[in-house]
Amino acid sequence: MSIVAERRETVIERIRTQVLPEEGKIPFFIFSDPEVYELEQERIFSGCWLFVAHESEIPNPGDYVTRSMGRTKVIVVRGEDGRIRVFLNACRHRGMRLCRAELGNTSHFRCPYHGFTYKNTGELIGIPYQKQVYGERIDKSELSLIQARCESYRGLVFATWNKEAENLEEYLGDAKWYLDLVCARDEMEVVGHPQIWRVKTSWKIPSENFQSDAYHTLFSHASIAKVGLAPTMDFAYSGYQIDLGKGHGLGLGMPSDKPIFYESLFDEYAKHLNPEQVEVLRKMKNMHGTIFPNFSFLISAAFYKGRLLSHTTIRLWQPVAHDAIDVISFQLMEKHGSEEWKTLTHELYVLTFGPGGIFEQDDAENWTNIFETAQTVGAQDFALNYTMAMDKKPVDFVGPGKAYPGKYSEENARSFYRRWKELIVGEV
Amino acid sequence: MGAYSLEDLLTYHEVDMFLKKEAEILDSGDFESWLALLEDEVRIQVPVRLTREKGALSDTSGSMEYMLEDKETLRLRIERLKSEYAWAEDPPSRIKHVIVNLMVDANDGERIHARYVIIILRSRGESTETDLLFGRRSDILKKTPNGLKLVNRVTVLDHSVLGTKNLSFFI
Repeated sequence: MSIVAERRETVIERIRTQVLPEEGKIPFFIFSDPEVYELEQERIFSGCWLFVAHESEIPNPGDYVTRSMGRTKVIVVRGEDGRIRVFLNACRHRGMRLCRAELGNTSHFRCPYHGFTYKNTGELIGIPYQKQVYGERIDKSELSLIQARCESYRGLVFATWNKEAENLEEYLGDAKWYLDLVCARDEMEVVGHPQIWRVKTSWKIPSENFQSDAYHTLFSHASIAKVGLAPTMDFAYSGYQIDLGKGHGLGLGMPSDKPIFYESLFDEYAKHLNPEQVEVLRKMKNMHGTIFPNFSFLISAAFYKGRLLSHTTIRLWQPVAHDAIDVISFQLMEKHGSEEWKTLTHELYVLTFGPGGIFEQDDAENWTNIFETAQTVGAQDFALNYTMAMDKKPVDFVGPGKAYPGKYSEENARSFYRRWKELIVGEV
Repeated sequence: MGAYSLEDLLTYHEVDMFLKKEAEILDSGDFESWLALLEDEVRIQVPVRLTREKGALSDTSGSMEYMLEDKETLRLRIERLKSEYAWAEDPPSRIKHVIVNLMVDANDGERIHARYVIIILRSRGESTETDLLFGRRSDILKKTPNGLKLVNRVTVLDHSVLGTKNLSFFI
């Protein structure tokens, strides 16, 4: 066996024996080991459905954004036919990156290397000096851009390289009911452009945090209560932690004394959601979750400028290397919100989330510090403790999934790492 | 480039000293003194920067920002930094705001327009890496009986991906 293959077998064996979600044991090394990262790229980011864009970013034919699936660079483009497709961002001739802007509108992509030209629907339509250099020996129809599978749910565009994958709606499963509250309570639109910043950490740490760590708000975000944006430091305690299966999960804070959305918005919500969903929105304090592997969402409330209101964000924890992620954070906004709602909820998003957000800036401190420790040889084989609320049983809840009472729990983290392990080593 | 009057030179010097003093105050963490340099109606914006094709629309987002501040949100940020739970800045980062390429124009008597390049350096903890942010600033300053005050500031950073884990400091 080669050294490389041996190293890989060793890492897989360490994962098999040391990642023990049922016992609440997750070792440090899975957050930092470069070989683990390689395995994730192959077995998770090549196989799962991955969020790539929101439809409102590319409303018109020719609109595109460039994103990544795992570390693979792709173009998400709405073709002349109105259909959204996801292409490998590489020319079929020598693999040069076709599109080097992060957004724009174009009828075609022209490679800067040799000038091969593709329609925004993927077909190769132009090769310079084609007759002279290739004669009849090239069939352009065989050289369309390499295309990933692409499906949308409620404006969320996902893609996968996995031809065998179940369709997106099956993949999302029980999460759909709750994603509706985030993405389909009105016509929801991305505000402008995403904020993007680089954090030296593992994508798993925030992915896990968003679905399973309401507990950290008590201490990490105590400053929010200190300045009066939240009523008490335990603002995220009451509610449910809901295991949605397949590594997806969320925390749903409730009940709130007053709605965290303007009353005038509920007429719109009632047009798009069923009465049970509207009732949950009415009682919601906050909601935060992750669709496996690295797409998260959050509805976060605060007392701001004399009003109780909330903002909604969706984001990717985009791995760029074994020791870094790009956080790509979008604000979602109701198309039919009042001007006051739009203004204040936008101010609240920028004040509290994004790199400068007074919530989020403390999270980055945690995530980078954990990662630094995880890289040290002395720490690697020690297990972190994931035993919180292990004995709690699910209770009845109006929405799907296994709902555990009280949001301070690590049930979802255990499910997240169970799914992660299953995909990496092929068993639990 | 025209001829400069003595008054132009004095105004340039006044603006230059204001900005450097402000940078020194911010870098020292004396945020209350910094607030006193801002007019009550102050607005501070750091729009998201975009990588776009040459000749395309603006490469600065018109609707999303990294900072979108008025005096109330700045006060909130400062109150938070003073609490014992502001982990991102405890222990504090060491930060330098560097101001270069200053140009002063549109001097209509009461309001002064200053344009310059801002470089922000951050050292944090035991790391030998430096967070580096740079971009172009456009400030509107107002002459008051108590000296210059900041009315409006737009900082357009040159990064479409910020190479810093957070903005726990003031840009």
